Amino acid sequence: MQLDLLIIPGFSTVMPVLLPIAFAVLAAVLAALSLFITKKETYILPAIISTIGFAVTFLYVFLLGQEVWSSGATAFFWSWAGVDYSGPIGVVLSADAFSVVLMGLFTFMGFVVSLYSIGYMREDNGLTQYYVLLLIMVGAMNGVVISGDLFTLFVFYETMGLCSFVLVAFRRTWEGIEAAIKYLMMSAIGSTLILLSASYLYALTGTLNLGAMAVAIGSSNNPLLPILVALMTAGFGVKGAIVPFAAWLADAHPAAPSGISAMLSGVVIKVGIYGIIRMNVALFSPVVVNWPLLLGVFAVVTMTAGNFYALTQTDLKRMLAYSSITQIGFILFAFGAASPLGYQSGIFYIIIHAFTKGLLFLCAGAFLHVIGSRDLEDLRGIGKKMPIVGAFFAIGVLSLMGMPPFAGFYAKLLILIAGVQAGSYYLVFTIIAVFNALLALGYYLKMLSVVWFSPESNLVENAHRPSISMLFGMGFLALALIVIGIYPNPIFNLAVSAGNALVNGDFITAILNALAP
Amino acid sequence: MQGINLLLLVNSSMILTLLILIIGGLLTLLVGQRSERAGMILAAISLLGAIGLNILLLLNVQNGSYIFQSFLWLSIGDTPIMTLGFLADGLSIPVVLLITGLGFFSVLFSSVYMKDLRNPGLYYSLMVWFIAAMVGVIYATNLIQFFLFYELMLIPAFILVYLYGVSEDPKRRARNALQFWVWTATGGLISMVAVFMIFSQVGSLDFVTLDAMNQLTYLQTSTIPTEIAKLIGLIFLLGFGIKLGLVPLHVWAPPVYGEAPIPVLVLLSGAMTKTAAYGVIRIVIPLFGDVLSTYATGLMIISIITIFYGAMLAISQKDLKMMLAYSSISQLGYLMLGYSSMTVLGVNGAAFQLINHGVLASLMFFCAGAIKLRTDTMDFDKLGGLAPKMPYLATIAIIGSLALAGTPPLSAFAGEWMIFGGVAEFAIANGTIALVFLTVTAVAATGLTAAYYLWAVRRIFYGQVPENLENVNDPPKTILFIGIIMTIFVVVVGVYPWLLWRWVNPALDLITGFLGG
Repeated sequence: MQLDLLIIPGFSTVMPVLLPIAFAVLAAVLAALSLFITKKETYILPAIISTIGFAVTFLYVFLLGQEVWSSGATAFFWSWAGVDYSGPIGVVLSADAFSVVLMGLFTFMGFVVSLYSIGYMREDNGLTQYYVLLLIMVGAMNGVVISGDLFTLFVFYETMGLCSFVLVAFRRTWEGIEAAIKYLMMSAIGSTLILLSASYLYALTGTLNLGAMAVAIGSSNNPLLPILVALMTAGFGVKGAIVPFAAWLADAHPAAPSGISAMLSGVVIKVGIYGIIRMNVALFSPVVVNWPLLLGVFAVVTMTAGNFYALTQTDLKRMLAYSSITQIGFILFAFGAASPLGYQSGIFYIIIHAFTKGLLFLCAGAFLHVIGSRDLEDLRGIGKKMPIVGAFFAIGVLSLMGMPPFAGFYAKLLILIAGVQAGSYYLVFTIIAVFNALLALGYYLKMLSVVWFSPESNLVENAHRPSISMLFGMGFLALALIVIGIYPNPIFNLAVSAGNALVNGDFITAILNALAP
Repeated sequence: MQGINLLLLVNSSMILTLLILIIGGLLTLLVGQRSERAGMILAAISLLGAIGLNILLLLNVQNGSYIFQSFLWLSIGDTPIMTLGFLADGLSIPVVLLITGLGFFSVLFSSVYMKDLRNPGLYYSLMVWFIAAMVGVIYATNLIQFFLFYELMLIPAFILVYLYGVSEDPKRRARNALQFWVWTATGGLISMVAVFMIFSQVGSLDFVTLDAMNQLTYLQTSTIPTEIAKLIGLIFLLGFGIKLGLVPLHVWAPPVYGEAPIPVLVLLSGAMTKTAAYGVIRIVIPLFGDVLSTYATGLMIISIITIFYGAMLAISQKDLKMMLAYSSISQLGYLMLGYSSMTVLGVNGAAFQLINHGVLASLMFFCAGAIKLRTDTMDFDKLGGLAPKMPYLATIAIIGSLALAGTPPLSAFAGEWMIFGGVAEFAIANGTIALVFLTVTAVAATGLTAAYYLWAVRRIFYGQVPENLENVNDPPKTILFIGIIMTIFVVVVGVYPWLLWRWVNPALDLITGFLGG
């Protein structure tokens, strides 16, 4: 089959954003029609549409990837009725290798979660809203990573945020609503900081276009710049789960339905990290503002705090949520090295962590689904009753731990090599990172020993095999972890291209080239 | 035509060995679910295949020749981060043969020894994979590859000890297995720190490569400042020391040796600890031997403490298995003593002893297993006068004991003699009384070895026969077959050490060349 036929010329950049939203509308309309005809709410129809939607989107991300890999970053300007909005406040979308890799990751996770949810969410009501929100959330995330101006970025960022607030509270339990409100409040403050920083940047440079803005800032030495970096980092840091802005995470992730926890922990927090990295790399020269040091300090604080919180938890999903904070620390640590290898390994870590943490949350969801509790005390010995999910869980934990032959080994290895390579003060940070990797063993081993090596608890007695769609969702991720763990080079090469794009500033160059007449 | 095929087979037989073991393990797992016997036979066949390929290799690496292969595994563009290399020379192939041979014997032994095996397919496949990982360590030419397999072997080892341990209480089994895993995995991680330091200093992780002239060359470490090089060397020694079980890093060893069933114990003590000893001789001595020679005295003291500590505790044991376990700790002290003398003679002796101790310790463990099989106990107080009842086994066990005690015409004598020669050479070269005293102490410790082995022989094979043991006889033919093969090796190598020496010595010339003595 000639895949080229599917390409719509000129729109390749925006397809990954438009498609999920189009499918969301389709799902909503068809579900309403089906309700009208059969007088019964359907649970399977929106699930299938959304799964297909993610698969189609992934195909288009792949096509876009081919274009970007062969002819460099792409750019797209919004125009309407013959008016071209390429001016200082127009809408610009641009995709470089980094954006493509992240979009592929978001869409893939969306696909897995959508598949998993067929079985997991079967007993819930209002599933149409669930899948529509999931699709829009992924569309918005794809939008964030291709936004070439601060206005578009902010719009997509908020869209993603709104969808995730609603999804956290989807089951309308008190716990979920409380967590969602906390999440909403903190995110709103974060968004305000971003807005503040963006408006100052507009005042300084007279444009919202990132390309023009980067040129205008250049290597200027404006005393405001450090403050703007700080505002931007803190603002994105709220969604990105950087300590001390991560207080919402440990409530929101456990309270959400498990598929959504996997999305939140696997990819949504990575959007915050994306914001930090993209803004800092594109706009601010590390010579003027030493943002790598800032990231490095945040990284070690985040990973250490996450670890110490996680060690004392008794709730599996909460423990996983805190472990996500630690892992975000590791990701920032890699980016803070600010070397090519640092960016490359950081992006690789983002991919691997999305798979790993996604898998773990899905497994935790499968346990929760079957026995109705996520307390470690009740989960004792569940691996013996549910050996397949238990094995997936063990793969996830071992990968998180950095055991070969699972993908996490290479991810940890590469970021530590990057840290050592950065040298000087970063050696101290590397030692702290190694210490944290060891400290984390404490609760990883606890999870493993609870699931596999403890006598079975009362609740576990009547555990049974989960539905086939859940197993498929988890199986995809577990398989990915093993395959990458054995032969990491193909995926690492994607990360290398993405990291190089970041280092070379392909994103900015593409926007500037498109701006130039 | 034939010649080309054979050459091709020789060149690819290292990869084939690993593939045979990995795939053989998988088949064993599948077939073993149906029939225990078929699983055992498949495991034995895969190990025999590995042994056959390595004998072929052995014939091709005589007189210091070698086979080297390398594949790019993880890279940034064409710049390698990790290569997958395979090196066959006169040192690695005998060690691989030792490991696969012990594996083969363990599998045979299990078929008569392990009664009421739960899930036999899993048991045999884990054995095969455990061996595969160890073989991977021995072939490795890249530091990451080395430690990847080094950590990998712990997963099957842990599951084997946890599932098939001898304690009835699962909690106790879990605790012993977990303690073993945490200690040895930490040992590997500590070594990883040294690996990172090497990378930051030298920028390469291949510790042995082919140069332009097709000669084997070890990684050039003379550019590393001496203080840092010393630190890296010591970190490596700390990491390897944990797995070797040097006092005071031996804490994990006695519980897990007590816990593991005999066939697993043979692999743990006979084979797994040897990978650490091999790591010292393959990595630490060529790369950091010259800078570490300043610490020779300190390392010797630690080794002698290990020898004495192991021997003392061995004397005080009431149980044959535990006595052998402590004896194994003590014997590994001799290996370290040879290394720490940092003389050509001492290192050669240690390399020689590495193989001999692997054979001898395993032989004694097999004998202990045979006694346990027939009498159902390994307690000295309940044994006695077995020599007339089981003449073959008694002969084998007495030859093994004499050999371990360093009696002249048996295999361990040559190695121990060279180790002491190396220590004496070091003492004389430095000309201090204290060092001469250390040498004498080390030699005197051999007396202790002789004491507890001969005492054990006295208590098991001579004296009053307890009433319930009137009807015991020789163990099954399989066990006698294993014992006789190993005894023949012990006697032949003891009488004519050159048989083994002709392979090891030329390979070591390159390594000991770094010691400059």
